[in-house]
Amino acid sequence: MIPVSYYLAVGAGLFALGLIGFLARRNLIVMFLCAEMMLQGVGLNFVAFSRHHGNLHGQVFTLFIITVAACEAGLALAFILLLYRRKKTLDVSAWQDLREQGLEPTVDDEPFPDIAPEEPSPTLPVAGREPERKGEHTHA
Amino acid sequence: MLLGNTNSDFPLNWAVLFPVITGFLAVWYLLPTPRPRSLVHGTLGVLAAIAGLGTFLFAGLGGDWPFNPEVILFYAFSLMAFTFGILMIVQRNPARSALFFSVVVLSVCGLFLLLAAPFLMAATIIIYAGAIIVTFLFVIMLSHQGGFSDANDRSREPSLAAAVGFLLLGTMLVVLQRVYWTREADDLIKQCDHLANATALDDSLREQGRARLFVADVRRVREKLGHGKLDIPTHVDGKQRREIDSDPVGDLEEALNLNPPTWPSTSGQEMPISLEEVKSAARQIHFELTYLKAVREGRISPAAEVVELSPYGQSKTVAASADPAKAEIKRLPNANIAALGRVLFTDHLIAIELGGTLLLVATIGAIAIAGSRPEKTV
Repeated sequence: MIPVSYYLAVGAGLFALGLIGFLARRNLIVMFLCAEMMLQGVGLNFVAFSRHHGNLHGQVFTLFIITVAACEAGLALAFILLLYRRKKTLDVSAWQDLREQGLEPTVDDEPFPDIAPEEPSPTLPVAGREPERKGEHTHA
Repeated sequence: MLLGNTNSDFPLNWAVLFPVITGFLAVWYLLPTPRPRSLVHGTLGVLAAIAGLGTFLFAGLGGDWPFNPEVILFYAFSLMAFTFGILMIVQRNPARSALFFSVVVLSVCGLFLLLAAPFLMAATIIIYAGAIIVTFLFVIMLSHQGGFSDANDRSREPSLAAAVGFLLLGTMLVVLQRVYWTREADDLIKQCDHLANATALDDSLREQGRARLFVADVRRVREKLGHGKLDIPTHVDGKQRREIDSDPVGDLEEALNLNPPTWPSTSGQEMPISLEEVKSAARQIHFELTYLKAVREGRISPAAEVVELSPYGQSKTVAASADPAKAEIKRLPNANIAALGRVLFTDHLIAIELGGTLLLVATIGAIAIAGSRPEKTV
Protein backbone atom coordinates (compact mmCIF):
# COMPACT_ATOMS: atom_id res chain seq x y z
CA MET A 1 0.00 0.00 0.00
CA ILE A 2 1.28 3.46 -0.86
CA PRO A 3 1.67 5.50 2.36
CA VAL A 4 -0.57 8.46 2.97
CA SER A 5 2.30 10.94 2.60
CA TYR A 6 2.52 10.42 -1.17
CA TYR A 7 -1.12 11.31 -1.67
CA LEU A 8 -0.66 14.33 0.58
CA ALA A 9 2.19 15.50 -1.66
CA VAL A 10 0.00 15.23 -4.77
CA GLY A 11 -2.83 17.05 -3.00
CA ALA A 12 -0.41 19.81 -1.97
CA GLY A 13 0.72 20.16 -5.59
CA LEU A 14 -2.83 20.51 -6.88
CA PHE A 15 -3.66 23.03 -4.16
CA ALA A 16 -0.59 25.17 -4.92
CA LEU A 17 -1.30 25.14 -8.66
CA GLY A 18 -4.90 26.17 -8.08
CA LEU A 19 -3.73 28.96 -5.79
CA ILE A 20 -1.33 30.30 -8.42
CA GLY A 21 -4.02 30.19 -11.08
CA PHE A 22 -6.50 31.96 -8.83
CA LEU A 23 -4.02 34.72 -8.01
CA ALA A 24 -2.58 35.26 -11.47
CA ARG A 25 -5.32 34.66 -14.02
CA ARG A 26 -7.77 37.40 -14.90
CA ASN A 27 -10.55 35.49 -16.61
CA LEU A 28 -13.41 34.94 -14.15
CA ILE A 29 -14.22 31.50 -15.54
CA VAL A 30 -10.60 30.31 -15.27
CA MET A 31 -10.39 31.67 -11.72
CA PHE A 32 -13.49 29.66 -10.86
CA LEU A 33 -11.92 26.50 -12.35
CA CYS A 34 -8.75 27.11 -10.31
CA ALA A 35 -10.79 27.31 -7.11
CA GLU A 36 -12.33 23.97 -8.05
CA MET A 37 -8.85 22.51 -8.50
CA MET A 38 -7.88 23.63 -4.99
CA LEU A 39 -10.95 21.80 -3.71
CA GLN A 40 -9.83 18.69 -5.60
CA GLY A 41 -6.48 18.78 -3.79
CA VAL A 42 -8.18 19.09 -0.41
CA GLY A 43 -10.59 16.27 -1.24
CA LEU A 44 -7.68 14.03 -2.18
CA ASN A 45 -6.14 14.67 1.25
CA PHE A 46 -9.37 13.74 3.00
CA VAL A 47 -9.77 10.48 1.07
CA ALA A 48 -6.11 9.59 1.72
CA PHE A 49 -6.59 10.11 5.46
CA SER A 50 -9.78 8.07 5.29
CA ARG A 51 -7.74 5.16 3.96
CA HIS A 52 -4.97 5.83 6.46
CA HIS A 53 -7.26 5.69 9.48
CA GLY A 54 -9.41 2.91 8.13
CA ASN A 55 -12.74 4.66 8.59
CA LEU A 56 -15.15 6.44 6.27
CA HIS A 57 -15.37 9.88 7.84
CA GLY A 58 -12.84 11.33 5.41
CA GLN A 59 -14.88 10.11 2.45
CA VAL A 60 -18.02 11.59 3.96
CA PHE A 61 -16.21 14.89 4.32
CA THR A 62 -15.18 14.78 0.66
CA LEU A 63 -18.80 14.12 -0.28
CA PHE A 64 -19.76 17.33 1.50
CA ILE A 65 -16.93 19.17 -0.25
CA ILE A 66 -18.42 18.05 -3.57
CA THR A 67 -21.85 19.28 -2.44
CA VAL A 68 -20.49 22.67 -1.49
CA ALA A 69 -18.49 22.81 -4.73
CA ALA A 70 -21.69 22.19 -6.70
CA CYS A 71 -23.46 25.02 -4.85
CA GLU A 72 -20.45 27.22 -5.42
CA ALA A 73 -20.43 26.40 -9.15
CA GLY A 74 -24.07 27.40 -9.51
CA LEU A 75 -23.71 30.66 -7.62
CA ALA A 76 -20.35 31.56 -9.16
CA LEU A 77 -21.60 31.10 -12.70
CA ALA A 78 -24.69 33.16 -11.91
CA PHE A 79 -22.46 35.93 -10.57
CA ILE A 80 -20.16 35.71 -13.58
CA LEU A 81 -23.19 36.13 -15.84
CA LEU A 82 -24.29 39.17 -13.80
CA LEU A 83 -20.84 40.77 -13.90
CA TYR A 84 -20.54 40.10 -17.63
CA ARG A 85 -23.83 41.85 -18.26
CA ARG A 86 -22.59 44.99 -16.50
CA LYS A 87 -19.16 45.36 -18.16
CA LYS A 88 -19.32 43.12 -21.25
CA THR A 89 -16.02 41.52 -20.31
CA LEU A 90 -14.80 38.58 -18.20
CA ASP A 91 -11.70 40.48 -17.09
CA VAL A 92 -11.64 40.69 -13.31
CA SER A 93 -9.56 43.89 -13.46
CA ALA A 94 -12.60 45.64 -14.87
CA TRP A 95 -13.83 45.60 -11.28
CA GLN A 96 -10.76 47.16 -9.71
CA ASP A 97 -12.85 50.12 -8.54
CA LEU A 98 -13.63 47.84 -5.60
CA ARG A 99 -10.00 47.79 -4.44
CA GLU A 100 -8.82 49.00 -1.08
CA GLN A 101 -8.62 52.73 -0.50
CA GLY A 102 -5.22 54.27 -1.23
CA LEU A 103 -4.03 51.54 -3.61
CA GLU A 104 -2.83 52.49 -7.05
CA PRO A 105 -4.93 51.14 -9.90
CA THR A 106 -3.40 48.45 -12.10
CA VAL A 107 -2.56 49.81 -15.53
CA ASP A 108 -1.89 47.49 -18.42
CA ASP A 109 0.95 49.36 -20.10
CA GLU A 110 2.37 46.50 -22.13
CA PRO A 111 0.71 46.62 -25.55
CA PHE A 112 -0.43 43.56 -27.40
CA PRO A 113 1.71 42.63 -30.41
CA ASP A 114 0.40 43.61 -33.81
CA ILE A 115 -0.87 40.35 -35.14
CA ALA A 116 -3.74 40.46 -37.57
CA PRO A 117 -6.78 38.67 -36.21
CA GLU A 118 -7.59 35.41 -37.87
CA GLU A 119 -9.91 35.35 -40.85
CA PRO A 120 -13.45 34.59 -39.76
CA SER A 121 -14.64 31.13 -40.60
CA PRO A 122 -16.48 30.79 -43.95
CA THR A 123 -20.22 30.95 -43.69
CA LEU A 124 -22.88 29.56 -45.93
CA PRO A 125 -24.61 32.03 -48.28
CA VAL A 126 -28.22 32.84 -47.74
CA ALA A 127 -30.27 30.13 -49.37
CA GLY A 128 -32.43 30.89 -52.41
CA ARG A 129 -30.28 33.63 -53.84
CA GLU A 130 -27.67 33.17 -56.53
CA PRO A 131 -24.18 33.91 -55.19
CA GLU A 132 -22.27 36.76 -56.75
CA ARG A 133 -19.51 35.63 -59.06
CA LYS A 134 -16.82 38.04 -60.04
CA GLY A 135 -15.32 37.75 -63.49
CA GLU A 136 -17.16 34.61 -64.35
CA HIS A 137 -19.34 34.10 -67.32
CA THR A 138 -22.70 32.72 -66.65
CA HIS A 139 -24.71 30.61 -69.05
CA ALA A 140 -27.62 32.92 -68.78
CA MET B 1 23.64 11.51 -0.49
CA LEU B 2 22.45 14.73 -1.99
CA LEU B 3 18.86 13.66 -2.56
CA GLY B 4 16.68 13.37 0.49
CA ASN B 5 19.29 14.35 3.01
CA THR B 6 17.33 15.08 6.17
CA ASN B 7 20.15 14.51 8.61
CA SER B 8 21.48 18.01 8.21
CA ASP B 9 19.91 20.88 10.07
CA PHE B 10 19.31 22.75 6.83
CA PRO B 11 15.59 22.27 6.25
CA LEU B 12 15.68 22.34 2.46
CA ASN B 13 17.23 19.78 0.22
CA TRP B 14 17.26 19.02 -3.46
CA ALA B 15 14.30 16.67 -3.37
CA VAL B 16 12.22 19.69 -2.36
CA LEU B 17 14.15 22.46 -4.07
CA PHE B 18 14.14 20.79 -7.48
CA PRO B 19 10.33 20.55 -7.90
CA VAL B 20 9.82 24.00 -6.41
CA ILE B 21 12.36 25.75 -8.63
CA THR B 22 11.45 23.97 -11.86
CA GLY B 23 7.74 24.39 -11.20
CA PHE B 24 8.17 28.08 -10.44
CA LEU B 25 10.18 28.70 -13.60
CA ALA B 26 7.76 26.77 -15.81
CA VAL B 27 4.63 28.43 -14.45
CA TRP B 28 6.16 31.90 -14.37
CA TYR B 29 7.35 31.53 -17.97
CA LEU B 30 4.08 30.18 -19.27
CA LEU B 31 1.49 32.36 -17.52
CA PRO B 32 -0.12 34.51 -20.21
CA THR B 33 1.54 37.81 -21.09
CA PRO B 34 1.19 39.97 -24.17
CA ARG B 35 4.65 38.77 -25.27
CA PRO B 36 4.40 35.48 -27.13
CA ARG B 37 6.22 32.60 -25.46
CA SER B 38 8.37 30.02 -27.17
CA LEU B 39 6.59 26.70 -27.41
CA VAL B 40 9.85 24.74 -27.14
CA HIS B 41 10.94 26.49 -23.94
CA GLY B 42 7.46 26.08 -22.49
CA THR B 43 7.41 22.36 -23.24
CA LEU B 44 10.84 21.94 -21.67
CA GLY B 45 9.70 23.87 -18.60
CA VAL B 46 6.62 21.70 -18.11
CA LEU B 47 8.68 18.52 -18.55
CA ALA B 48 11.19 19.80 -15.96
CA ALA B 49 8.38 20.58 -13.52
CA ILE B 50 6.92 17.08 -13.92
CA ALA B 51 10.38 15.59 -13.42
CA GLY B 52 10.66 17.73 -10.28
CA LEU B 53 7.50 16.39 -8.67
CA GLY B 54 8.43 12.88 -9.79
CA THR B 55 11.78 13.31 -8.04
CA PHE B 56 10.09 14.32 -4.82
CA LEU B 57 7.69 11.38 -4.94
CA PHE B 58 10.48 8.97 -5.78
CA ALA B 59 13.23 10.13 -3.46
CA GLY B 60 11.80 12.75 -1.15
CA LEU B 61 9.79 10.58 1.22
CA GLY B 62 12.15 7.67 1.71
CA GLY B 63 9.89 4.89 0.48
CA ASP B 64 11.02 1.65 -1.08
CA TRP B 65 9.28 1.10 -4.34
CA PRO B 66 8.13 -2.35 -5.34
CA PHE B 67 7.29 -2.62 -9.01
CA ASN B 68 3.58 -3.37 -8.92
CA PRO B 69 0.48 -2.06 -10.70
CA GLU B 70 -0.59 0.11 -7.77
CA VAL B 71 2.66 2.06 -7.81
CA ILE B 72 2.62 2.44 -11.59
CA LEU B 73 -0.98 3.66 -11.55
CA PHE B 74 -0.24 6.05 -8.70
CA TYR B 75 2.62 7.58 -10.63
CA ALA B 76 0.62 7.79 -13.84
CA PHE B 77 -2.39 9.47 -12.22
CA SER B 78 -0.47 11.86 -10.00
CA LEU B 79 1.90 13.05 -12.71
CA MET B 80 -1.03 13.38 -15.12
CA ALA B 81 -2.92 15.50 -12.58
CA PHE B 82 0.12 17.71 -12.04
CA THR B 83 0.86 18.11 -15.77
CA PHE B 84 -2.65 19.03 -16.76
CA GLY B 85 -2.97 21.25 -13.70
CA ILE B 86 -0.03 23.32 -14.98
CA LEU B 87 -1.42 23.34 -18.51
CA MET B 88 -4.82 24.42 -17.20
CA ILE B 89 -3.58 27.48 -15.34
CA VAL B 90 -1.32 28.66 -18.18
CA GLN B 91 -3.78 28.09 -21.03
CA ARG B 92 -4.98 31.29 -22.73
CA ASN B 93 -8.15 29.83 -24.18
CA PRO B 94 -10.68 29.25 -21.36
CA ALA B 95 -12.37 26.44 -23.29
CA ARG B 96 -9.09 24.53 -23.35
CA SER B 97 -8.61 25.33 -19.65
CA ALA B 98 -11.94 23.66 -18.94
CA LEU B 99 -10.91 20.61 -21.00
CA PHE B 100 -7.60 20.29 -19.14
CA PHE B 101 -9.43 20.66 -15.84
CA SER B 102 -11.58 17.70 -16.78
CA VAL B 103 -8.38 15.63 -17.25
CA VAL B 104 -7.22 16.75 -13.78
CA VAL B 105 -10.57 15.62 -12.35
CA LEU B 106 -10.29 12.25 -14.09
CA SER B 107 -6.76 11.74 -12.71
CA VAL B 108 -7.89 12.59 -9.19
CA CYS B 109 -10.73 10.12 -9.65
CA GLY B 110 -8.15 7.47 -10.53
CA LEU B 111 -6.36 8.28 -7.27
CA PHE B 112 -9.70 7.98 -5.44
CA LEU B 113 -10.06 4.50 -6.89
CA LEU B 114 -6.57 3.58 -5.68
CA LEU B 115 -7.63 4.84 -2.25
CA ALA B 116 -10.60 2.44 -2.14
CA ALA B 117 -13.28 5.08 -2.69
CA PRO B 118 -15.22 3.90 -5.78
CA PHE B 119 -18.41 5.76 -4.88
CA LEU B 120 -16.60 9.07 -4.57
CA MET B 121 -14.90 8.40 -7.90
CA ALA B 122 -18.24 7.93 -9.64
CA ALA B 123 -19.85 10.89 -7.86
CA THR B 124 -16.97 13.19 -8.69
CA ILE B 125 -16.99 12.23 -12.36
CA ILE B 126 -20.74 12.74 -12.67
CA ILE B 127 -20.90 16.05 -10.80
CA TYR B 128 -17.77 17.59 -12.27
CA ALA B 129 -18.64 16.43 -15.76
CA GLY B 130 -21.88 18.36 -15.38
CA ALA B 131 -20.08 21.38 -13.96
CA ILE B 132 -17.55 21.37 -16.78
CA ILE B 133 -20.21 21.13 -19.47
CA VAL B 134 -21.98 24.13 -17.93
CA THR B 135 -18.67 26.01 -17.81
CA PHE B 136 -18.19 25.17 -21.47
CA LEU B 137 -21.56 26.64 -22.31
CA PHE B 138 -20.59 29.80 -20.48
CA VAL B 139 -17.28 30.06 -22.29
CA ILE B 140 -18.96 29.65 -25.66
CA MET B 141 -21.63 32.15 -24.70
CA LEU B 142 -19.46 34.86 -23.19
CA SER B 143 -16.02 34.81 -24.75
CA HIS B 144 -15.23 36.71 -27.91
CA GLN B 145 -13.57 34.88 -30.73
CA GLY B 146 -10.21 35.90 -32.14
CA GLY B 147 -7.71 38.56 -31.17
CA PHE B 148 -6.14 39.35 -27.82
CA SER B 149 -8.14 40.25 -24.76
CA ASP B 150 -7.22 41.59 -21.34
CA ALA B 151 -9.00 38.71 -19.65
CA ASN B 152 -7.17 35.89 -21.41
CA ASP B 153 -3.81 37.26 -22.44
CA ARG B 154 -2.68 39.17 -19.37
CA SER B 155 -1.85 37.96 -15.86
CA ARG B 156 -1.80 39.79 -12.57
CA GLU B 157 1.76 39.66 -11.16
CA PRO B 158 2.72 36.25 -12.60
CA SER B 159 6.10 36.14 -10.87
CA LEU B 160 4.73 37.00 -7.42
CA ALA B 161 1.81 34.62 -7.75
CA ALA B 162 4.03 31.74 -8.85
CA ALA B 163 6.52 32.52 -6.06
CA VAL B 164 3.79 32.49 -3.41
CA GLY B 165 2.28 29.25 -4.70
CA PHE B 166 5.53 27.35 -4.93
CA LEU B 167 6.75 28.71 -1.59
CA LEU B 168 3.60 27.24 -0.07
CA LEU B 169 4.21 23.96 -1.92
CA GLY B 170 7.82 23.83 -0.73
CA THR B 171 6.77 24.39 2.88
CA MET B 172 4.21 21.63 2.71
CA LEU B 173 6.68 19.22 1.09
CA VAL B 174 9.30 19.92 3.78
CA VAL B 175 6.71 19.25 6.49
CA LEU B 176 5.69 15.99 4.83
CA GLN B 177 9.30 14.95 4.52
CA ARG B 178 10.11 15.73 8.13
CA VAL B 179 7.08 13.89 9.44
CA TYR B 180 7.07 10.80 7.24
CA TRP B 181 10.74 10.12 6.61
CA THR B 182 11.42 6.67 8.12
CA ARG B 183 14.40 5.31 6.24
CA GLU B 184 16.86 5.86 9.08
CA ALA B 185 14.41 4.25 11.51
CA ASP B 186 14.24 1.24 9.16
CA ASP B 187 18.03 0.97 9.18
CA LEU B 188 18.21 1.14 12.97
CA ILE B 189 15.42 -1.41 13.36
CA LYS B 190 17.38 -3.77 11.14
CA GLN B 191 20.57 -3.20 13.14
CA CYS B 192 18.81 -3.73 16.48
CA ASP B 193 17.20 -6.90 15.18
CA HIS B 194 20.60 -8.15 14.12
CA LEU B 195 22.05 -7.24 17.52
CA ALA B 196 19.22 -8.89 19.44
CA ASN B 197 19.80 -12.20 17.68
CA ALA B 198 23.59 -12.04 17.59
CA THR B 199 25.68 -14.87 18.88
CA ALA B 200 28.75 -12.71 19.35
CA LEU B 201 29.21 -8.99 19.73
CA ASP B 202 30.29 -7.07 16.63
CA ASP B 203 33.74 -5.61 16.68
CA SER B 204 32.28 -2.22 15.79
CA LEU B 205 30.39 -2.08 19.08
CA ARG B 206 33.52 -2.88 21.10
CA GLU B 207 34.96 0.36 19.79
CA GLN B 208 33.84 3.15 22.10
CA GLY B 209 33.41 5.91 19.50
CA ARG B 210 31.25 3.93 17.10
CA ALA B 211 29.18 2.49 19.89
CA ARG B 212 28.50 5.99 21.18
CA LEU B 213 27.48 7.06 17.70
CA PHE B 214 25.08 4.13 17.45
CA VAL B 215 23.48 4.93 20.80
CA ALA B 216 23.15 8.61 19.86
CA ASP B 217 21.49 7.61 16.57
CA VAL B 218 19.01 5.43 18.39
CA ARG B 219 18.18 8.18 20.82
CA ARG B 220 17.73 10.82 18.09
CA VAL B 221 15.51 8.65 15.87
CA ARG B 222 13.45 7.58 18.84
CA GLU B 223 12.84 11.20 19.80
CA LYS B 224 11.93 12.02 16.22
CA LEU B 225 9.36 9.24 16.07
CA GLY B 226 7.63 10.73 19.10
CA HIS B 227 9.11 8.82 22.02
CA GLY B 228 7.98 10.26 25.32
CA LYS B 229 4.57 11.24 24.03
CA LEU B 230 3.23 7.69 24.04
CA ASP B 231 3.13 4.88 26.55
CA ILE B 232 5.10 2.09 25.02
CA PRO B 233 4.17 -1.37 26.27
CA THR B 234 7.12 -3.33 27.58
CA HIS B 235 8.21 -6.20 25.47
CA VAL B 236 8.75 -9.20 27.76
CA ASP B 237 9.62 -12.45 26.14
CA GLY B 238 11.62 -15.29 27.56
CA LYS B 239 13.97 -13.48 29.85
CA GLN B 240 12.45 -11.19 32.39
CA ARG B 241 14.05 -7.78 32.27
CA ARG B 242 15.43 -6.47 35.49
CA GLU B 243 13.56 -3.20 35.68
CA ILE B 244 10.39 -3.12 33.66
CA ASP B 245 10.13 0.63 33.18
CA SER B 246 13.77 1.49 32.72
CA ASP B 247 15.21 3.23 29.71
CA PRO B 248 16.50 0.59 27.28
CA VAL B 249 18.88 3.00 25.57
CA GLY B 250 20.44 3.75 28.95
CA ASP B 251 20.63 0.01 29.56
CA LEU B 252 22.43 -0.43 26.25
CA GLU B 253 24.85 2.33 27.14
CA GLU B 254 25.51 0.69 30.47
CA ALA B 255 25.91 -2.74 28.93
CA LEU B 256 28.39 -1.41 26.41
CA ASN B 257 30.38 0.32 29.18
CA LEU B 258 29.86 3.73 27.64
CA ASN B 259 29.04 5.50 30.89
CA PRO B 260 31.98 7.10 32.61
CA PRO B 261 32.93 5.06 35.67
CA THR B 262 31.71 6.48 38.94
CA TRP B 263 34.96 5.68 40.66
CA PRO B 264 38.34 5.24 39.12
CA SER B 265 38.95 1.70 38.19
CA THR B 266 41.84 0.32 40.18
CA SER B 267 42.88 -2.35 37.80
CA GLY B 268 42.69 -0.07 34.75
CA GLN B 269 40.93 -2.83 32.86
CA GLU B 270 37.50 -2.36 31.37
CA MET B 271 34.59 -4.41 32.54
CA PRO B 272 33.78 -7.23 30.15
CA ILE B 273 30.71 -6.52 28.01
CA SER B 274 27.86 -8.83 28.84
CA LEU B 275 26.33 -10.10 25.60
CA GLU B 276 23.09 -11.07 27.32
CA GLU B 277 22.49 -7.56 28.61
CA VAL B 278 23.25 -6.03 25.23
CA LYS B 279 20.86 -8.45 23.53
CA SER B 280 18.10 -7.80 26.03
CA ALA B 281 18.44 -4.03 25.65
CA ALA B 282 18.58 -4.31 21.84
CA ARG B 283 15.44 -6.44 21.86
CA GLN B 284 13.56 -3.77 23.81
CA ILE B 285 14.88 -0.98 21.56
CA HIS B 286 13.88 -2.94 18.49
CA PHE B 287 10.40 -3.36 19.91
CA GLU B 288 10.12 0.34 20.80
CA LEU B 289 11.24 1.56 17.39
CA THR B 290 8.92 -0.85 15.56
CA TYR B 291 6.05 0.21 17.77
CA LEU B 292 6.66 3.93 17.27
CA LYS B 293 7.00 3.47 13.52
CA ALA B 294 3.80 1.44 13.33
CA VAL B 295 1.92 4.13 15.27
CA ARG B 296 3.35 6.79 12.95
CA GLU B 297 2.24 4.83 9.91
CA GLY B 298 -1.19 4.33 11.41
CA ARG B 299 -0.97 0.55 11.50
CA ILE B 300 -1.64 0.31 15.21
CA SER B 301 -3.45 2.61 17.54
CA PRO B 302 -1.68 3.86 20.65
CA ALA B 303 -4.90 3.70 22.64
CA ALA B 304 -5.81 0.55 24.49
CA GLU B 305 -9.00 0.12 22.50
CA VAL B 306 -9.90 1.21 19.01
CA VAL B 307 -13.24 1.62 17.33
CA GLU B 308 -13.48 -0.31 14.13
CA LEU B 309 -16.03 -0.45 11.36
CA SER B 310 -17.86 -3.60 10.55
CA PRO B 311 -18.39 -4.37 6.84
CA TYR B 312 -21.63 -2.37 7.00
CA GLY B 313 -20.24 0.61 8.79
CA GLN B 314 -21.43 -0.11 12.29
CA SER B 315 -18.98 0.84 14.96
CA LYS B 316 -17.65 -1.87 17.20
CA THR B 317 -14.92 -1.80 19.78
CA VAL B 318 -12.06 -4.20 19.54
CA ALA B 319 -8.91 -4.45 21.59
CA ALA B 320 -5.96 -2.81 19.94
CA SER B 321 -3.08 -5.06 19.11
CA ALA B 322 -0.07 -3.88 21.04
CA ASP B 323 2.32 -6.00 19.06
CA PRO B 324 3.53 -4.19 15.95
CA ALA B 325 4.54 -7.48 14.36
CA LYS B 326 0.94 -8.68 14.41
CA ALA B 327 -0.65 -5.33 13.51
CA GLU B 328 -2.14 -5.15 10.07
CA ILE B 329 -3.03 -2.17 7.95
CA LYS B 330 -6.48 -0.97 8.88
CA ARG B 331 -8.90 -1.87 6.16
CA LEU B 332 -11.93 -0.07 4.87
CA PRO B 333 -15.16 -2.06 4.60
CA ASN B 334 -15.57 -3.96 1.35
CA ALA B 335 -19.07 -2.74 0.57
CA ASN B 336 -18.11 0.89 0.07
CA ILE B 337 -21.48 2.32 -0.93
CA ALA B 338 -23.44 0.44 1.72
CA ALA B 339 -20.98 1.44 4.43
CA LEU B 340 -20.89 5.04 3.24
CA GLY B 341 -24.69 5.22 3.29
CA ARG B 342 -24.79 3.72 6.75
CA VAL B 343 -22.24 6.23 8.07
CA LEU B 344 -24.00 9.13 6.33
CA PHE B 345 -27.40 8.35 7.78
CA THR B 346 -26.24 7.44 11.29
CA ASP B 347 -23.21 9.52 12.24
CA HIS B 348 -23.68 12.48 9.90
CA LEU B 349 -27.45 12.85 9.70
CA ILE B 350 -27.60 16.56 10.57
CA ALA B 351 -24.76 17.33 8.19
CA ILE B 352 -26.50 15.64 5.28
CA GLU B 353 -29.73 17.52 6.01
CA LEU B 354 -27.77 20.76 6.08
CA GLY B 355 -26.09 19.81 2.81
CA GLY B 356 -29.44 19.25 1.14
CA THR B 357 -30.73 22.57 2.45
CA LEU B 358 -27.60 24.29 1.20
CA LEU B 359 -28.14 22.88 -2.29
CA LEU B 360 -31.76 24.08 -2.30
CA VAL B 361 -30.80 27.57 -1.11
CA ALA B 362 -28.00 27.77 -3.67
CA THR B 363 -30.35 26.77 -6.49
CA ILE B 364 -32.89 29.39 -5.52
CA GLY B 365 -30.14 31.96 -5.10
CA ALA B 366 -28.64 31.22 -8.51
CA ILE B 367 -32.02 31.58 -10.18
CA ALA B 368 -32.68 34.83 -8.31
CA ILE B 369 -29.29 36.25 -9.26
CA ALA B 370 -29.21 35.27 -12.92
CA GLY B 371 -32.87 34.89 -13.75
CA SER B 372 -34.18 38.44 -14.03
CA ARG B 373 -32.82 40.30 -17.00
CA PRO B 374 -33.94 43.03 -19.33
CA GLU B 375 -35.25 42.03 -22.72
CA LYS B 376 -32.89 41.19 -25.57
CA THR B 377 -29.69 40.93 -23.51
CA VAL B 378 -27.44 37.98 -22.94
